[in-house]
Amino acid sequence: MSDWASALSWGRDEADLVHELQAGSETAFDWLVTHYHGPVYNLILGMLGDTSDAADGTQEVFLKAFRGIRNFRQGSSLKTWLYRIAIREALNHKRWFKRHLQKNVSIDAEPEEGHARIEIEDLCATPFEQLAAQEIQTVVHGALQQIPEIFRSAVILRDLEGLSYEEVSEVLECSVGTVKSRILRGRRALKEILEPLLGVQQIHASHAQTSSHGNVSEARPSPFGDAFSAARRFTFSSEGLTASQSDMKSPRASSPGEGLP
Amino acid sequence: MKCNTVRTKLAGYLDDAITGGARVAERVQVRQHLEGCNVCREELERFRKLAVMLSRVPANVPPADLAIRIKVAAAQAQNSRDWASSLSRLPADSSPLFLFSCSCFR
Repeated sequence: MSDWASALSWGRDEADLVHELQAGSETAFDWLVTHYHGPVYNLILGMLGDTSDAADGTQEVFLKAFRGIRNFRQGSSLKTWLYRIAIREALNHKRWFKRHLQKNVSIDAEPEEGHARIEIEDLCATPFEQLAAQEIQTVVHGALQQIPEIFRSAVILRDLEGLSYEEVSEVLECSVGTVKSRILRGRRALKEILEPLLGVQQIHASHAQTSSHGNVSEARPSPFGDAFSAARRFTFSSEGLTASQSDMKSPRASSPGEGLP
Repeated sequence: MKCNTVRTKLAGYLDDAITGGARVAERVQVRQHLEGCNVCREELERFRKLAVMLSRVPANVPPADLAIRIKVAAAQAQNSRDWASSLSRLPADSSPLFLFSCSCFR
């Protein structure tokens, strides 16, 4: 990838870009890869939860885009088109994986030697902020892997990638009503899994307030403390959510897995 | 509207994703219920925290060589396509020996 391509912004409108791509312009394809390989990689990683699979999947998405650009309909959005290919690629990969390997993915699994599990983008953050961001990322991605993929794709596109409901419906090729329904159910499932984390900040805030009166200086703890490990102890099944160890302190008001299939 | 019904709506209350035909009327009913129900307000607060958490999940950095890998793979695919189309332009009666020779010098 040439350096100038990353600095270049496509000054003309998207229709021109599509036209250039359909004409086989190397510069246009260079621009497309430079600007979209990151978001596509993140989307597939969110769906599959594995960095190596996400990289392979991203490559396959762009090869399919490269081969299929002549069939791209003018008036559509390139981004939603690429995301649609990416979602299909992730789902196909998942199906192939289930049929052939049935590998168990654990959120606690150590990364392979020489491979960082996940790299955080924000290089300007302090080490503490980076640690907090990494913990949030690990737990959220772990939780996403526990909810059904039909909800996962909708939640990732809406809540992580920031697409509008209309864009999500275009990517997933279903109605806006269906998209909203999937997102609501996905959020409910995620809330159940991440429940220990969603109330813990108040506890830490009050703890910080209390400890500010004392003179003892302690090493700075993980920003969310034990809540992360508590969140990890939940597992999702078709019957709903269950705690593998019954040490959750606050009983939920609603029934577990409410609204889930 | 009762708590159980309200809780099925809360996941979409913050960004207007309440589904159903009478969305506006339902929003009003949910809001009225929330004004008098601490438990449901706390539940809504959890969804708000979830939304904040999801919006703050940092983007992952793709492998440094991914973009170049894609570019190389696309160039190879292009070459294969050019090669295939050049073969398809050959006369139909080209001998198999000639085609084999071409593939050896590819």
